[in-house]
Amino acid sequence: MKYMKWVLSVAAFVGALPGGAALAWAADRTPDWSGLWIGTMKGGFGIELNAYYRPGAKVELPPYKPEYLEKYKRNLDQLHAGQTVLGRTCKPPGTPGNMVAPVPIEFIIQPKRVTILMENANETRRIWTDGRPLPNYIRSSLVGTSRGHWEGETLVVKTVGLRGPELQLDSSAPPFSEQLTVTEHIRLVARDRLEDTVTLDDPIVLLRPWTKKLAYRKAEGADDIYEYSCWEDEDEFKKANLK
Amino acid sequence: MGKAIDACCQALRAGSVIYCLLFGMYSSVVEAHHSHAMFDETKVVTLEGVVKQFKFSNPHTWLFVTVTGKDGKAVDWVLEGQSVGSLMRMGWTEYSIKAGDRIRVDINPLRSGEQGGSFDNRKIFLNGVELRNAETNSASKR
Repeated sequence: MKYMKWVLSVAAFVGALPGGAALAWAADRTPDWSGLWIGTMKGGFGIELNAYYRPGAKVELPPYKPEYLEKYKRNLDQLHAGQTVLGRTCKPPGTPGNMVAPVPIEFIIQPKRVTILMENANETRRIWTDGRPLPNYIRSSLVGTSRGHWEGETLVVKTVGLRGPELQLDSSAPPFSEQLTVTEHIRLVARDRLEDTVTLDDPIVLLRPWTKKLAYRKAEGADDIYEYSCWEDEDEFKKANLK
Repeated sequence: MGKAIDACCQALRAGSVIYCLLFGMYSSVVEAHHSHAMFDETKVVTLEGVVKQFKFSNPHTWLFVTVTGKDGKAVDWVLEGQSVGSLMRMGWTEYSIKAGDRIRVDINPLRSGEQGGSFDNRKIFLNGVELRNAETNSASKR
């Protein structure tokens, strides 16, 4: 024990070196997901409309209970007829619509937390990975309340407390309830490819869990996320007579 | 669909649209704001005219183009583009298109038949030179 003071001094000195932070980082074995990631899913979260309406095409619809399937199909018909379902809105899509990422997302990986920054609607997901339980009281939100853990280099995230009926998974607005639980397995599949396997479990609207694989490519040479100031073009929008 | 074809044909009659094509792509990706449902993504229309205004704004950029038909009548088209961030990563700035530029632009027309459309991911020629995109963060260097 008489050497402990000396050991601590050396440790403090190493920690103070410019490389000290890097040593701590490496020891933590967190994967490198740096850079910006852009979704490559053609049909967004849901189904590809033109595939669905192609004569004779067999497109699997989400496993909705009959009444919700009817609602979802009506939304698809509306979109296919050129009418919007959601209308003009600056409301953030919420989780997991925000993971579709038509504009980039960025991961900040720390030893006890993963933070996902989204350019779309400036959303932020905070995912604690330090083993803490969910809070006793959760006020429902669009982004939800998340807890995660690492299984090897796969980040497993469970999100609850979602405002299901208000979520925008894509412009076809698939319906959900507040009992929705979203489980994600996020991992790097190549240096420049990431995937998020998303399982939606909602006993109110779904017959069984609905799993969808989201894919991303790394935006080469692009480092910056820009402010998504959704109110800037209201005048032009009116001039264009769009909805 | 019929209305969109009408829009194409009207534009063709005006003499300023080069071609209409079947394009076959649909997307239901939601970006905060509104869906692309009002644009007919199965069609591409090429407009030629003069830029009235380019607005580099979020969540959409906007191009106002005055198209003069064979009958000498000038019609303003309102065209919607991607967000500022998406265009900046492709090297665009607010100065990429200027009022007075002669423009040839491919668009997905409005299904309603009105003079409007989307210029997302489409070819643009300014004063005869193609505006090329490069995924880069070098917007500030331009």
